Amino acid sequence: MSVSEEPKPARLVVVIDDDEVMRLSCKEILRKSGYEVECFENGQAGIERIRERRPPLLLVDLKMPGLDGFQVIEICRKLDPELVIVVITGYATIGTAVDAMKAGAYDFLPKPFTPDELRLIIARGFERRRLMDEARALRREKEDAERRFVSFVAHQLKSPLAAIKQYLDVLLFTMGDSLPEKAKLWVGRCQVRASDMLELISDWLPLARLERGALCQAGAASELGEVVKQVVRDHEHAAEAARVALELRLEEGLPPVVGDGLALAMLCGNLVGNAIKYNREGGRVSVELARAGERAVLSVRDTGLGIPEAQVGRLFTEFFRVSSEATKEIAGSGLGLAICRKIASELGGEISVESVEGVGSSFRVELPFAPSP
Amino acid sequence: MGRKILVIDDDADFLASVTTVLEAAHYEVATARSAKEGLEALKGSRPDLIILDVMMEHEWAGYELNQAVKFGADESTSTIPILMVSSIQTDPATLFYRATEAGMVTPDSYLTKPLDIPVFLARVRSFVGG
Ligand SMILES: Nc1ncnc2c1ncn2[C@@H]1O[C@H](COP(=O)(O)OP(=O)(O)OP(=O)(O)O)[C@@H](O)[C@H]1O
Ligand SMILES: [Mg+2]
Repeated sequence: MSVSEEPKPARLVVVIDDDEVMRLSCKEILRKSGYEVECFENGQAGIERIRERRPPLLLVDLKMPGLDGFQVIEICRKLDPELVIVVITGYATIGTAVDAMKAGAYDFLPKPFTPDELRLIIARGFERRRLMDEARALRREKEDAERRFVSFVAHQLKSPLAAIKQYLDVLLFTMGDSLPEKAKLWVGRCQVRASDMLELISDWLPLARLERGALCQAGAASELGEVVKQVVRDHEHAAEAARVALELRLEEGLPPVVGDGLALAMLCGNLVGNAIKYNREGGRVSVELARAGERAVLSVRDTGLGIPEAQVGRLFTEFFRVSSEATKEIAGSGLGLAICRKIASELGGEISVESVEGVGSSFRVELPFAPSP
Repeated sequence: MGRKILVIDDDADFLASVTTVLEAAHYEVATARSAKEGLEALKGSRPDLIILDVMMEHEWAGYELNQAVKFGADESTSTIPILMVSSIQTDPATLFYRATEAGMVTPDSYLTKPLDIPVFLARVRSFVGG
């Protein structure tokens, strides 16, 4: 939904009625009560004006030649879901009034009506609008608070943990040899616990952001090839340590895909990280980026542990981890793939997997190209 | 004679641990607790490498200092290599992209805290040798 940048015409009422006398008298009465009034004799012209000026309130006759009131309501609901609509009904036929309210009108005014009745119903409509605006402002404030909370957690939890972990690393690195065996062992255990917790926070943060649909920047586009290259570079060290060969094949000249670099790097990084983590010595990970029609296809294949058939369907569920002898010793929170799926679907793409236990897995992500500017 | 490294970070614990590793590797280490202190320290001496935290007084303090070192009034600091560190794990490509967009210089290198010590020392060595 787009919010116009101009100041909202706070007291504007648009009146659509084919009856000239009605238009004139509404204008007269409402002007005297301090409203700004614009009148139109048919739906088309009125809707045009609503599109331009975004009034808070519309007063519309149900029975008109051309577009009738119901059609006007339908179009206006789509145009501006927050527009408060009051309908004027020809006779006090409760039936049509109810239908109009089902279609999205807020209230109805049966003809004939007195000036006081008109003023009252318009005042109620504006009050309704004010409440809606207030609710929206509150919602926005809450979202801001949440965003602040997330970055607060990021900094306030991660920094001290990083400092702790750094001390432990340095302690072992520079003085490890002079520590008693048991002290060395325990410092090592502390290191592992601190790293696990750091990783949990890193995994949880994007998920918390994703839950509010805020991870992927709207309208962003990125060179997926560059992102993939960087991710592979970032994982070279880990692959080497795990004695896994990491290879990359890139099709050149792909157009940019939708999504910001951060989200794409997270998506790609989780897959490459897993492929190395759930592999075995001497194994292989192949990362490939190619084009398939109007989409970019990223595949990450490994010759690792594979996934038991019965558990494949649950891989993308939060906190799900395969439990088997082989994976027992491997640390993780089970959030990586859940994040991958959320990112992919938020970007209008898809993620899928094929795997054979004991042989290897192949993850495939399809992402749409960004619309060219 | 050891090479000189200036470490700038608002986290005293990080300064302490990093100083220890660097000294164990026979570097001469000076520290500063803020971007401002860092700038002061640079007036007195010319380190061979600066290790600089991204978030200090504010979210971009490290990048601002980076820029001041490279393009500031004192031209003699413009060639000192800078290694940025941060506990926020951000994909460096995006981070640098934003830094460039904000008119800031990109660092010569970037590492996430906690530092992987062998990787860190290798990176330091690549700048200053030793
Ligand atoms: N390439 C793979 N080969 C074999 N098993 C895999 C592979 N990728 C994921 N899995 C299985 O799927 C589970 C879920 O993966 P996911 O990435 O979501 O979480 P994780 O790796 O356990 O933890 P983290 O949140 O740290 O990534 C893993 O625990 C693992 O058992
Ligand atoms: Mg994982």
